[in-house]
This record gives sequence, structure tokens and C-alpha cells, in this order.
Amino acid sequence: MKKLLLFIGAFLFSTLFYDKSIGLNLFLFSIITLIVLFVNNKDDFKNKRTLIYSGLYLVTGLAVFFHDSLVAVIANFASFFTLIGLLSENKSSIYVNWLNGLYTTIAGLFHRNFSFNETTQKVEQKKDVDYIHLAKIIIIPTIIVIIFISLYQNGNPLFSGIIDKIDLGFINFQWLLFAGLGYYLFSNIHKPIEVEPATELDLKTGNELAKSTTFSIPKLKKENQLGIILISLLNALIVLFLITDITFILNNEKVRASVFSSQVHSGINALIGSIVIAIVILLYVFRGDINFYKENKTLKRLAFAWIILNIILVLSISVKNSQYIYYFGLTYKRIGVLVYLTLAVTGLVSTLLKIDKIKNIWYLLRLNTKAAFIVLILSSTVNWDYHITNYNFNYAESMDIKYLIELSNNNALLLKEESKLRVFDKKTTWKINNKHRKYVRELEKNSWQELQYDNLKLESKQL
Amino acid sequence: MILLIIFGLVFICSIIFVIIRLSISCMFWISKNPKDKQHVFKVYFPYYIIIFFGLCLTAIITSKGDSSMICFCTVVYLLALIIWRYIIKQKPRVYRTIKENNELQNPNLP
Repeated sequence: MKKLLLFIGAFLFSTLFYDKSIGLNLFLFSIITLIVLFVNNKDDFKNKRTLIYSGLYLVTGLAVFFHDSLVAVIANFASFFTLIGLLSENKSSIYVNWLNGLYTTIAGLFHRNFSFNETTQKVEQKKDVDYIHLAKIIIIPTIIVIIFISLYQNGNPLFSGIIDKIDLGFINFQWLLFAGLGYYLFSNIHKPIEVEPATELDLKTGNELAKSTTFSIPKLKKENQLGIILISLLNALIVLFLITDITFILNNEKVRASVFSSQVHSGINALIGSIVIAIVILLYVFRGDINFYKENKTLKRLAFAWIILNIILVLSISVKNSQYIYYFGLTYKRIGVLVYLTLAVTGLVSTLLKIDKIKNIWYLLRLNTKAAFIVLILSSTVNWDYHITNYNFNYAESMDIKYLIELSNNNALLLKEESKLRVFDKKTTWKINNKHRKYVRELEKNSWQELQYDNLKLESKQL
Repeated sequence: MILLIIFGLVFICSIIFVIIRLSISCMFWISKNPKDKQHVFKVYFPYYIIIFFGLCLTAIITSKGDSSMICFCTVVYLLALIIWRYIIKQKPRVYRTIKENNELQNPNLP
């Protein structure tokens, strides 16, 4: 039954992907993968985390169908590896899941052939497959069925018509090779495996920070003094900076474009660097025994104050970035800054938790990689090109139409609609029409495997 | 001409084989316990094959999905797996002393 499922999976893999571009096929592949994984790992699917990650995997597959963007495809791959890794070991960290997922996908079958039994200290040899019998049960029934089909074809014209309609012309040598690749892939992933040294190390490593054996109070007193002076000065500096920064934000009323642009660009880059350095300094100060020093309350309070001030700094950057977006339109770079700021806030909050609850650096790494994964999944569900175009046309004070035309085809239908409502110069109108025409032609050429949500939109418009 | 092509192909294949074999041997050489094949397999094989796969994928992407490059990378990848399989399944050599050999040939019969 399980072997048969792998064969069906391989057949569907080749049918979905051979000579096709990405579209509905990736979502269907996600469903097939989940079925194969569920049949082979039923117990693991009782776990809540597995169900959540399976859901996320399906969501990213749907995102690819709705808007065929690179972010959605990357998110789909990332959630695929995460799910496979989770099935191999559900207590490990997300980055170990990625490693296990990748390893299972690449060499799962090969690894299982050399699985080592710790109790018997022997390599478990697989039972010999009776290939002759396997060939018999496939070839003999196939030949007999073909003979009978040709006999029945002559006996009944209606049956003959149905048989004639079956077109297997798409199967060729390359298609079969592709099916082989599909079989290899499903054979690898159906029983996920783990990179043992990395997984064992990860499971052994907890989140709690331990007191070292060389705990020395005089040494810690000096460290505490240094930390208090350093973080106090940094607090004073950031307060001063924030006052001037907020004054700048409140007083600037539509500054000249070039001035504003250079201010925001250089400012944001410097501030992004300063937040990273802030986290590094805090991690260095609270790296060891200072966490267990009784007199560290002042240092901790100063650190918390500095983190909160850094979060206010992030807010001020996001206000500046929003103003910039309002005046000059939405672009990928500006969205990237917002994504970075979200991650920076997560980093700062997790640093605060780490200091407060006396956790180690692995805790930070685990929490932040998970946060990055969630941000990736969330950002994959948004059709950015469409929203950038929509915002720039309807809300931004000014915009760069060339930039919008150069975006992916996801905004082609919207651009065409907007070009009917607005007046552009001849060249721009020609470019928009050309982009729209090419995209519609591309959509019309799509086979059922390559279907996209825009295909349905186009069909409903034509009706 | 055909002979030259065959010679060229054999030469290239041999070089590729030697490179892969050497890269796998390196895994055994850097291991603290090179005689324990299972240990080397467990610790080094996953990283080796992930990096190897990454290199093959990079080569395919750089060649913009050229079919000959895909075939080449597939063959090289499978060759690497086969060599690993051969090394792991290979029985360890038993070195005997001259005395032991003599004893085997002339056992002390009662």
C-alpha cells in the first residue's frame, strides 16, 4: 500500500511539474506530500505542532496559487523543510528542523539503508526484494489488460471511443525520468530522518543559563560597575538622540524631497546598525555569572530602560519610514525596512526576556529564528506587487510609474485598470498595455497545472 | 576521432571519480575515529551530502537549467552516493602477522 502510494506520488509529481511553470501545481504537490507523510507517520499527526506546521505549509501553497511571487515560493520551501524536520524530531529547534528537513529530502532513502541499530551494534540490512515477483505482478497483468482492451475495442464502438480519447502522448523518456525523480523525493521524505549529532546536541542544550564554577564576587563587582557606567551613558545618549529625533519628526512639514531622502536613508542605515550593536552589547554584559550576582538590580533596570528606549527608537524610525512612504510611495526597499524593524523589536523584546528570566543565547536564537520564520510565512500571504501599486496610485503623494511597470506581473491587471482612469504619456500607456497583453497571453497559455488566481479573475471578466 | 573522444571521456570520468573518492576519504581522515565507519557516516555524511547537493544545485542554476549540466550533476551525485555505499559496506581488512598466517596453513594437528 505504502509503495503504491509512492508510485502514485511519483506519477502525480511528473504530471504536475514536468515542463510546467509554478502555479496550482505547488499547492497540489503540498496536498500530496501531506497525504504521503500522514499515511507513513500517523502518530506524529496527533501532535498540535505538526498540525499547525501542516496548515502553514498548505497556506504557503495557496499563496503561490493566489500570487505567484518569489517570497511565497521560498516560504513554501521553508515550511516544507520545517514540517519534514518536525516529523523527524518534534522537540528540536526550528533551525535543526530545517537541517533535518533538508537532509531527509536529499538523502533520506540512502541514510535509512544504513540505519544503525544501537542495541545489536549492526547495520540493519533490508530484506531482499523479490524483483522477479515484483516484475511479474506488474508486467503480466498489464499485458493481459492491454490484450483485453484491444479485444473489447473491436466489440463495442462506444468503448472504443472512450479508449481512443485517452491520450498518453505526454509520457516520454524525460517524463519518466522526472517521475523517477518524484519517486526518489517521496522515498526520501516518507519516513523523515535526522542528522543525529546536531539533533542530539540541540536536545541536550536547554534554554537556562547555568552558574559557572569560577563564580567570583570581586570580579563580578567590577563587571557590574563597568556595566552600570556603560549602560547609563548609553541611556543618556539615546534619550538626547530621541528628543532631537522626535523634534525633527514633529517640526518637519514636507521637507524638500532630496533632503528628506538623504536624511532618511543615511539615518535609517545608522540606526539599524545601532540596534544590532545594542543587542550585542547587552548580550556581552549579561553573558555569564553577572546574571546570578545579587547586586545586579540597578544594572538590570538600566538594561531594561535601554531596551525600551531602543524600542522607542525603532518606533521613531518606522514613523520616518511611513512618512517617506506617504510622500514618495511604497517600494520593496521601504517594506524591507519595516520587516527589519519588526524583527528588531522581536530581538529587543527577546533580549529583555533573556535578561529577566536568566536564559542563555540558544533561547534567543530559537525564539528569533521562529519569529523570522513566522514573518516569512506572513509576508508570503500578501500580494506585495498589487498592494504597492494600489497604495501608490490611491494614497501616496507622488510615485514612480516606471518602478511600478518594472514590478512582476502581479500588478498587470491593476495597472491596466488604473490606466483607464488616469492620463499617462504615450510611452507609459504603451508600456502598461504591452505588459498587460503579454501577461494575458501568458495566462491564456497556462495549462491546468499552471493555473493562477488571475486565470479565474480573467475568466470571470470575460464572462 | 572517436577513440580520442572515448579517451577524453574516460579521462574526465576518472578525474571526477578520483576527486569524489578523495573528498570522501577526507571525511575519514579528519575523523577522530576513522576506523569506525558508522561514526564517520553519522557525523560527516549529512553535512558532506548537503554541501555536495548545494554545489550541484548551484552548478545547475548557474547553467540556467541546461539539460547536459543536469545530467552531469545527477551522475556525479549518484556516483558520490555509490562510493559512500561501497565504503560503508566494505568489510574491514584483516591484517595478520606472518606467525598467524603460518599457523593457519600448518595448524597444530593432534
